[in-house]
Formats: sequence, structure tokens, C-alpha cells
Amino acid sequence: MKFKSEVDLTHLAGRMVMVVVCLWACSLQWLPAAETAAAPPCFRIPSQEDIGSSEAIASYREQWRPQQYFPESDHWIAADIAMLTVILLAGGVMVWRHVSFSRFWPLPATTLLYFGVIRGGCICPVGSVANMTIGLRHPEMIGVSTGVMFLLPLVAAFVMGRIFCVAGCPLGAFQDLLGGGRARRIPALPHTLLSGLPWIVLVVTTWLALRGACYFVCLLDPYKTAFFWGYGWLQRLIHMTHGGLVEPGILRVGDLTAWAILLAAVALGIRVYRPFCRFVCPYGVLLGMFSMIAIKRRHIEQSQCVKCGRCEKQCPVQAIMRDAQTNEYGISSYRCIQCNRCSSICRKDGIG
Amino acid sequence: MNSDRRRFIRFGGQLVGAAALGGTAWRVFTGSDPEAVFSQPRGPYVWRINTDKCTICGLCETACVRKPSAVKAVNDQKKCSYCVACYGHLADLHVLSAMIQSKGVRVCPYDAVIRREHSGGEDGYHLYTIDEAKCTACGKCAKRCNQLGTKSMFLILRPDLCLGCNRCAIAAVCPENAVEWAHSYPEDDFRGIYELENQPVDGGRQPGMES
Repeated sequence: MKFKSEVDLTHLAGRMVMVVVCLWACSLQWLPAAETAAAPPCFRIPSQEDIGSSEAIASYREQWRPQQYFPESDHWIAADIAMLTVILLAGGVMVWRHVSFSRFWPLPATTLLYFGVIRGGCICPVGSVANMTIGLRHPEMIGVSTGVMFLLPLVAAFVMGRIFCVAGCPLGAFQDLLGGGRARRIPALPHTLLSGLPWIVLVVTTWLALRGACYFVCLLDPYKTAFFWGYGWLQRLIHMTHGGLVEPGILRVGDLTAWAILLAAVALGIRVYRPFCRFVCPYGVLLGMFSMIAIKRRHIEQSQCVKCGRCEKQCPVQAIMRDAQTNEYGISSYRCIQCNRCSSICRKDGIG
Repeated sequence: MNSDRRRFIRFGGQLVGAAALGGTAWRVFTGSDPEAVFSQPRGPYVWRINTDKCTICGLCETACVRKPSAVKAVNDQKKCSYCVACYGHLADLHVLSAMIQSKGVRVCPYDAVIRREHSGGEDGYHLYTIDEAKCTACGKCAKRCNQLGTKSMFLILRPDLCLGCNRCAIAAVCPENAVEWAHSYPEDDFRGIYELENQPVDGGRQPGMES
């Protein structure tokens, strides 16, 4: 195997690590189930016979202990919103200045770490499609955090296109680990047909959310297992360093099916760039719609273009297409995720 | 001409997009009324505790993703025998019934069980209800009611408080598999208000006891 650059090496390492983690976590499912605490050691209620004896009552009073709560603080909401704002602003600057993707990867890495691991991948703007559908009907059920998380990326898309997809989305960042440099192109007709799937998912998600049946898009998300798992491990680490006890069950996040789906998604992601984003994500439809009417859209300067076709080959989401009649290349604002791969490969500086 | 038309369509699209964003933001951010929170169940399907299976182990208190839990204890006044098992210490015979309110030890760690005098007089009987704002579903009152009383208290999963997660965190840990995803009907008393005065004569349907 010949490596073209160090980016390929990191991608190969990333793929191998992810496949090994998935396989290992799958194998965890066959471990014997952890001893469930059948009798919670918190307190025992005196039985009818015990009531006469004062010792039993005394011991009951001794054992009685109120439950402690650590509710989610409002600081996390502020942190989430601030984090998303900063990431979108930084992503906007990167897209504006056409910084090469191999140089702005720390941005998606931060996203993966913060929204994926520290916040457990929930709530993400992708899942908030269902929340916001409910919110439009019952606004009292939607928190500020969810509303802002849903609207901020759309506002960013309205200005500069799908910055969120490349910089702020934990699902996208997870799929980016698998690399895109070697991804296979899908022939035009199947690609067009598959691109219709997100519309169906969007309709089904909104319909089921209005019926109150389920969060359909979250059911389809194969990467949540990995996020919950990372979140569980982080919590376990925090508990261990603070001397607390953690149930061993926390390592067995998700069942065998969930891990098998994740493994399949990872395996597919090695051959196809961002399969979830392109063929499932309903939020991508909304972002794409707003990108089409964005104030600053990525376009090809026809005066500069020498029609070499390098950008078309490089584009991982197949957003660059050649017009058969005029022989000119054009960028689909709907599909483009603003990864800057085309602008960094163009020798004529023809992508604006 | 062609480019003019495209620019016009794009401008129209931008206006529509801006209106959509603004409208959504306005609807969501101005519609949230803290007093109106959880006015109704989210949809026809709800997570529900099957009271026949529930053993009131108390795991609902901590397992629910909501803090405090969407599970609440309720008291069915028609079954209640007005003992003090859920309120104060039944075994504490040194405290008179009338003095429990001031001197007795509460069963509920959050003081969520409310004792109201019903009949008047010194040794009248009292009604026991649960303050849903304080209840955390620890189940101590219901457990004592089931052991010492007439089993009038039980835990319900309030659909109006439930977020309707795809996979209920309580169902995942429930040792009795008592939490089920079921269809609820408009006539279900999802708030679990079992007031004596408001009870229908033929007996209302209870959550989890679908006929």
C-alpha cells in the first residue's frame, strides 16, 4: 500500500482503531451480565413483626437517607450555545479564507470531543429536527438550548452555506475520521436516487414527532452508540478519580444490534464518504435548502477555470458537476459541505 | 434577462428563508411559558408503569433522564383508609395522631405527602395527597402504603412530564419490566389526580389498568 500523504496515514490509523473498538465492544455483549443490585442497599422497611421492636425502628431511621440530586445546571446550556457559536464563527472564517481541510481539522476534532464525548452526542442539531417539530406545535416543551442549537446552523447556512456540516456536527466529524480522500464516487443515477432519501427521512421524522411516536432520526443515527459509550467512559473516569463507585454495566452501552449497526456504518464509511450525511440526514436537507439561497455561495470563476476537472474528482460529496452542453463546471450549493478540498486543489485559484 | 430572473428568484428565496427562520425563532422563543410547561401529553403513545407489575423498588427516581423523575406517586382516595403509614411514622405510638404534623417524623424525605384535615374535629380523619412538585418518585410512601396500608398509593409515569425517549431509561433498569410503551386514551387521567370529590361514580380508569 502506498501512502500519498500523512493524512492518509492518520485516516488509516483512525479506521483501524475504530473498527477494533467496534469489534471489541461487540464482543463485550457476550460477557456475563453484571450482577444487578436486586436489593438496593438504601433502606429496608420494617415489616409488621418488626414494628414492636424499637431496635428495628431505630435502625430504619438510621438507614433512611434522602437521595442526592445533581441536576443539569444552566451553565451547560450556556456552554453548548457558546461552543456552537464559536465553532460556527471559526468555521466561517476558515471557509471564507479557503483554509485547507488538512489544516482546519482541529475544529471538527473539538466538535467531536465536546458535543460527541463530553456532551454524549445528545442533543445535536440533527436530532433537534424532531424536537423542533414538536416545538412548533407545543413551544412550551422546547428549551432555549434546543431552539438555538437548531437555528444557529441554519443562520450560518443562510450566510455561507453548510459550515455546520464540516465544522460543527459531531456525526460528520466522526465520519470524517474515516477519511474521504479515497472514497469511491457513486454513479450519477444511484447518487441522485439516494439523495432523495433524506427528504423521506425528514417527512417521516416530522410526522412521527407530531404523532408523538418516536424520534425517528435518532433511531437511525448509528453513531450515537459510540458517543454514549465515550460519554459513559468519561463519566466512569470522573467517578473513579473522585472515589465514587460505578456500575460495570456502563461499559456495555448499547446492545449487540446497536454495535453491529455502528460497525456496518463504519465499514460503509471507509468506502463511501459520509454516508449518513448524504443519504440519511434530514437536517442536511434544511441546511442544503438554506445554502441554495445563501448570501455567499461557493462558485467557480468561469474566467479562471481551465476545465481540468481536478475539483470534480476531489469533491467528496460529488457537489461539483460538469454541464454536458456548455462543458462548464458548477457547484451544487445544496450538496456542498464547505470542506475546502476543491479550493485547495485548484491551481488556477478559480473557486470563489 | 436570464440572470435577472435567477437573481429575482434567489432574492425571493432569501426572503422566504429569512421569514422561515424568524418565524420559527419567534414561535419557539416567545411561546415558551414557564407556567404552561407540560400542559398535555406529547402524543398518543406514552411510557406507562403497569401497576400490576410494579413493586415500587424506587429505581424510577434515579433512572429517569429527567431530574426529578417523570414518575410521581399518587394516592387513590377511594382506596385510602386514612392511616398515617405514608405520612408519619405509624410505629411512633408516642406521638398522637393530631400531633404528627408538628412532632412526627416524615416518611417522605421531601415532605411531599400533604395531610389535610377532612372531617374537622379533634380526631377526624385526614386526606393524604402528594405534592407533585416535590415528589421525586422515591416510592417510600407508596411502599409503606402497600406494606402497611390499603395499597391506595402507587407510582405513575406522567405522560405530560415524560420526554418520550426512544428507549426509556427506566424501562432499561426496571427489574419487573413494568414500564411499557402503550397507547393512552384521552379519557385517561394522566395527571393522576385521585380527588375524592371528583371521582366518577362508576370508577375512573387508572393508568396502567387498561380494561
